[in-house]
Parts: sequence; C-alpha cells; structure tokens
Amino acid sequence: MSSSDRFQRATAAGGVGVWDWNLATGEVYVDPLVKGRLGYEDDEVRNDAESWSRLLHPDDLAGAATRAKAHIGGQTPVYEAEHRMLHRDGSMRWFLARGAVTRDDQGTAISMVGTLTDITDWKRSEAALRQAEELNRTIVENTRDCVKILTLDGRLLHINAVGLRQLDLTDAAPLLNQPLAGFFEGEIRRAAENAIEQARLGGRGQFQYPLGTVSGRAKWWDAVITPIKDADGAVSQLLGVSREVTDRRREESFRAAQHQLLEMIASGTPLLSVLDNLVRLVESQFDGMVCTVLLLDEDGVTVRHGAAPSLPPEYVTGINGLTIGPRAGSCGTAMYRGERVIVSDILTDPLWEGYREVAVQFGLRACWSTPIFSPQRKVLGSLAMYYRESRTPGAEELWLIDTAADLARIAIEQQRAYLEADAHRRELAHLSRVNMLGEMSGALAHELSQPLAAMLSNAYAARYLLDRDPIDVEQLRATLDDIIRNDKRAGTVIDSLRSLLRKGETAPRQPVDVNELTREVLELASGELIARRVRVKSTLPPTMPSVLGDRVQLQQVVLNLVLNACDAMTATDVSQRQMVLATANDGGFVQLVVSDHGPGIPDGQLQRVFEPFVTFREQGLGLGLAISRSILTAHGGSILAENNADGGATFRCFLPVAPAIDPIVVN
Amino acid sequence: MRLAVVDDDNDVRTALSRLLSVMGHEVSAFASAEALEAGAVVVDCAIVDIRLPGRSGFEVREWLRNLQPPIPAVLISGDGHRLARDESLVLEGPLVTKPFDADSLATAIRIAMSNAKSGPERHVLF
Repeated sequence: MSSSDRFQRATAAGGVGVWDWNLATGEVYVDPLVKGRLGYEDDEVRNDAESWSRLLHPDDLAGAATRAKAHIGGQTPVYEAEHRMLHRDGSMRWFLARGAVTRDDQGTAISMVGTLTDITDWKRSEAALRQAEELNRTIVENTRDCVKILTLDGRLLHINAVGLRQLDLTDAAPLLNQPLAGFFEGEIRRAAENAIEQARLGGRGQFQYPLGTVSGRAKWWDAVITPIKDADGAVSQLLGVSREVTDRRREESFRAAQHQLLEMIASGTPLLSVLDNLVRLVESQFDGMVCTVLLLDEDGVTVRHGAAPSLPPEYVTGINGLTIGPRAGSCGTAMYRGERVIVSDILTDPLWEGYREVAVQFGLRACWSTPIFSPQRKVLGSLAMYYRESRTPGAEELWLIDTAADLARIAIEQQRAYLEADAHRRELAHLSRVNMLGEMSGALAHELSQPLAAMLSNAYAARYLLDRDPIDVEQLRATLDDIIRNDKRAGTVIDSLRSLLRKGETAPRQPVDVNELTREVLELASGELIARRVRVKSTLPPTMPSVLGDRVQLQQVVLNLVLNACDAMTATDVSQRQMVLATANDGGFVQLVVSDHGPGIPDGQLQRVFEPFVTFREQGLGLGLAISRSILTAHGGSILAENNADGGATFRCFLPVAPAIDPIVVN
Repeated sequence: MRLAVVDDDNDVRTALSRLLSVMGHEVSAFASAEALEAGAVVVDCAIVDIRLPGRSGFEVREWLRNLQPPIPAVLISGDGHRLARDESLVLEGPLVTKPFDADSLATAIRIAMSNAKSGPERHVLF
C-alpha cells in the first residue's frame, strides 16, 4: 500500500478529504471522497474554483472568501472556515475547511492546500444541544414550579425565578451556597434532610413544606429531589422541583373531614352536633364566609334552627319558628321553591324585604342558599353561605354548597331513621312489657293483695279496739301506723307497675345502679318466684359503678331474664329450681348474669334465641329476648347466651359503665 | 279459741294476728310450714296462706288433717286459687281471698271447725 493510499484510507474513515487550489490557474483539485459526500461522482464536478464555489451555501460564500483572502494576504497563519455545502439531493452538509498557502521566492502565494472535514453530524448534535439547553432554560424559567439545583450536600447552587418569587426575593445571592434544609425547622427540616439524602444516594426524595405569603395564608409546596448524574453515571448534583399543592392539600383535608363527619353520623352523634361540625368545616374552606343550616319541620312550613356557630344566639332565636314562603329571604325562599337561591346583595334583593333588618344587624350582605332534599325530593332544610360583602358564588363555592347540603341530607335522614327506629323499639318494648306483666298478673295481684289484706285486717282490729273500754290507745296507734305503712307499700307496687306499663317517652339517660335495679325486679317478681317454687341466689357486690340508661327498659330486661329462667325450670324438679343472679364490674362494663337449672338451650340455637319469634316455651311471643337485646344494644351494651356445664342456661348482659361526672361546685 | 296463723308476709301476719286477738282468740303466728311444725302448739284451727316458701298451704292443710286429732285449716290466698294444679284441692275446704272482711274470716273458721267434726263438706268463700 502506497503512502498516498494510506492517506486516502485514513481520510475516508474520518470523512476528511484533501483539496489543492492553484491560485494562478484557478484550478481546484477536490478529493473525490468529498465529492462523494455531496452525492457526486468525481467527474461530475469540474476541478475549477468557479464550479466548486457554486456548491458552497450562498450565505457562507462571502465568509469563506474573506477568510481565504486574509490568509493569502498573510494576515492569518492558517485558513480555517466552517461552511455549508449543497448536497445533490438539496440537503446541506457542514464542512470544516482548513488550509495553508504555498509561496514562491518572492512571497507570492501560488497555491493553497488543505483538508475538508465533514462536520455535519457534529454540527447537528451541537445544534440539538443548544436547542435542548434553550428548551431547558425556557422550561426552568417559565414553569410554575420552583426549580433548584443543589450540591451533593444540599447547598443551593441555582434557583429559578418562581423560587425567588415564592420567597418574595428578587436576588438569589443571599441564598446561594446555603443548605436548603436550613430554611425549615423541626419535622419538615428532618423530612428535607431525608429527601436530600435519598437523592444523593441515587433515589428520589420528597417532602412537603408550608410557606407564608403576603396574604398571610400559608401555601403548601411539595418538593421532589432527584439526582443529576454526570457522563459516568455518578451523582454530581441534585435537582429540586417544588410544586404548590395548597389546593390538593385542602382537598385532602376536606375529604378527611368529610369522612370524619360520615363516621360521626354513622356512630349516632346527635344531629345538631353533626351539623355544627359540618358548618364549621364549610366555613374553614373560604375566608370570611359564614355557613348555616336550617331544618324544615315535618309540617313542611316551619323553619327550625339547625346550625349557625358563627352567628350570635339572637339570630338563632330570630329564625326559629319562621315559615317559608316565596319571599322569605334566601333560605325560606329556597325551601319554598325547592331550588337554589342566590342573593348577591341582601340590601337590594326583593326576596329579603322584611328580613333585611336582621341581616343588616348581623352584618350579612350576600346569602346563597340551597335546599336539602330527601331522596323522595322532600325538602328537609337548607344550607346557606353568607358573606359580609356583596358577592356571587364561584364554581368552587357552588360545589361546596352542594357537597355540604348532601352531607347534611345524610345526617338529617340518619337522625330521622334513628328516631323512627327508636320509637319503634320503644313501642315494641312497651308491648312486650305489657305482655310480660300480663303473664305475671296473678303474682302481681298477690303482691298488691298482701298490703291490702294487712290494711283491712288492721282496720277491723282498730274498730274492735275502739269498742273496748278503756281504749288501748297505744295499740290503736300501732294499728293505724301499720295501716299507713301498708298503704304506702301498696302505693310502691302500683308505682312500679305504672312505670312498667307507661309508654316510654324519650327520657334522658340517667345513672342507674344495676344492683338496686335487680333488687327491685326481684321484689316485683317475688310472688311469681314463690308460686313457681324458684329459689333465687343473688350475688350483688356492695359497690358497683352506675350505668347510663332508661331505668324502665333496663328493668324490663332483667325481669324478662328472670321470668325466662322461671319458665325454663317449669319441668325441673322443685329441689333443683334455683336461679343465680349476679352482677360484676367487668373492665368498663357492668355485667349482669342470670343463670337457671333448666334443660338449657338446644344445640345450635344459642344465637337464634335472640331472634324475634324464636321461642322454646309453650307460651310467649318469642319477643322478650329480641327486645332485651335491642334495648341493651341501644344502651351500648350486649347480651350473650351460653349453656352451663352442669345443665341450664346462662344469659350475660354487658352495659358500659357511666362516664365519671365532674362534681359540680356550688358556691 | 286457740288459733295458728301461718303467713310469710310480716305485715299480713302481724295484722291478722292482731285482728284475731282483739276478736278474743289466742293466737300463735308462724312464717312458714316448717316453723309451724317445729312450734308444736296445740290449736283449734290454723289459718294458712297458700303461697309459702317451702311447703305450700295445701301441703300444710294435708299435714294438719293427718294429725291425731286432726286440726281444721282455713286457707288464705293473695291471688285466688290460680296456682293449684288440681282444682279439687281448692274446693276441699274453706278458702278466703285477701283482702278479706273480719266476718268472712270468722265464718270460714266456723265452717272449717264444723267440717272437722262432721266430715268435710265443700265450701268456697270468696
């Protein structure tokens, strides 16, 4: 291989060709390889300066000529120019031309020899890089995110304009080279340090931080820290991108609060308390907004107070009992029309004629109200937003009104369902009590006839005593005292019967001593127990915590269990007819146990005994235990049935211990 | 007359004993059938509550009837005769229902005593 061949190969590989320009003749030799790069065969481009220069990009021709002249004129040590050349297919290719002149003895340039290197690929990647850089810069400076570049140890190298604005700064200088985590404290500082460490190790770190703004309301930012790797793949710097997430956080906290409200509703929290919480939640979403809920009576016209924690009590009393109508403020009208009513200025809106004064008194100017509907489209009430300035609602506020009205609907419906179920349960409990007392009527008559018999005998005795001479005053007094005592005894029996026969109204729960209650029931049932030859062994500890409850309903539960135990032992030998009644303090619960010596509950029926209409007795509706269980459940308690190892059944009732009440200090 | 009163109810026992003594009788009072047996008193007639803890008034009457000489009994009851399994038990002798007049009780005692002399007749007094 000749040296010339070797050169050819070498240059071919690098896209480099030689050229030789005879300055005297204008003849230009151009390497066929370069011609090939432009899509021509060697003989298709003539070897003269004119033909060659036609292939140069017109915009680059002047530049190349100037540089060539300068070199020929001796002003530059080498000729060097980057210029585009036209490919046969119309595309452009970039070349780097380098060359040097050869001079004669007089110093006149006679020729210039050099290389042409195809740098198109390099040029392209350079352009791409510049474009990418420009794109990056545009993104970084125009994004709504805050972009930071950090050193490996978390110091700030660069922060974009958004980041500066976020900090109310115009100049980044005071921040540069400061540790990022140092801007925060406590939990958030630890989270920031942790995120930086994650990124430094090649992972992805994330933390959230609040920043106060001029308006005073903190905005929340979510920062993601990722590693920036160098060509070798080693982490060289860290990239931090923070995005404002205030809305998202608000949405999340709203959703959490919504969830909490639903839980309150489900757990039977009183309606007014649920509504109060709902209204406070709504108010927390917008500055300066006042929210209220009104309830519509079953009569469909009378307005009742629901919740208005931000308005004074005079407002509440003023609203209570008003009637709805076609011009009854925002709420009264919304409930009347069954559609949303937006009043942006109370001072001028005709709907507020007649109510304006109240609004002015409490400084209310705008009121948007939406009716709360039942699924059957019955109006249950209304939910309203008030502002202290004239205003129309935005989309977000309307969404919030609708969402809150829906929550209010659930709360109201739940409450109504609860009240209905409660009334139903009381009704059933009453029926069951009447039924139970009917079964015991003989024993109860006995209970009453004892004091009556004593009174009558004493009265006859007193008459005999009066007929004596002299009158035994002492004995007469003792006799009359006995009459009085027995009259009172009869009264007590009648009282307890009356309370058991009374239809239970919604009485406030009161503290009940289960031991005392058990003794009263045994007293009431004593006649029945004797008649049935049932002996009772009761174990009542001297002190027991109270439970909160409806005394009559709890009496009913115990009486039902006692009578059931008697019934269970009808076929039991008289010597074995023993019932055990015991109470115990069982870690937060008062436990009441009633145990008999009957045949026990048939296999597989232990759970079924609490179902309605399931009975193993010849008489009885089979409602007693079902009602007992519903009473205990309504008291937050429960009941279990089990069979004893030595025969018979045991029923265990659990009632939560009443919360301790702080003693009231009386001055 | 010597009379025994058997009733587990303190108030009834006290009042009944008082009435019978001011009527001129000699009264011994007991709270149960078992106490009566243990008391070993000689009486002309016993007034016995049906509903007693332990043995019932019917059983007491039966026991008294089998004594030598037998002692007549008047049964008293707070809720009539609801509890008797065998209705004939109720009809076997005088029975008064609480609350009762002094006269009714006196009549019942008389009948019980005359029955004891002439053999049982069936009487029910309400």
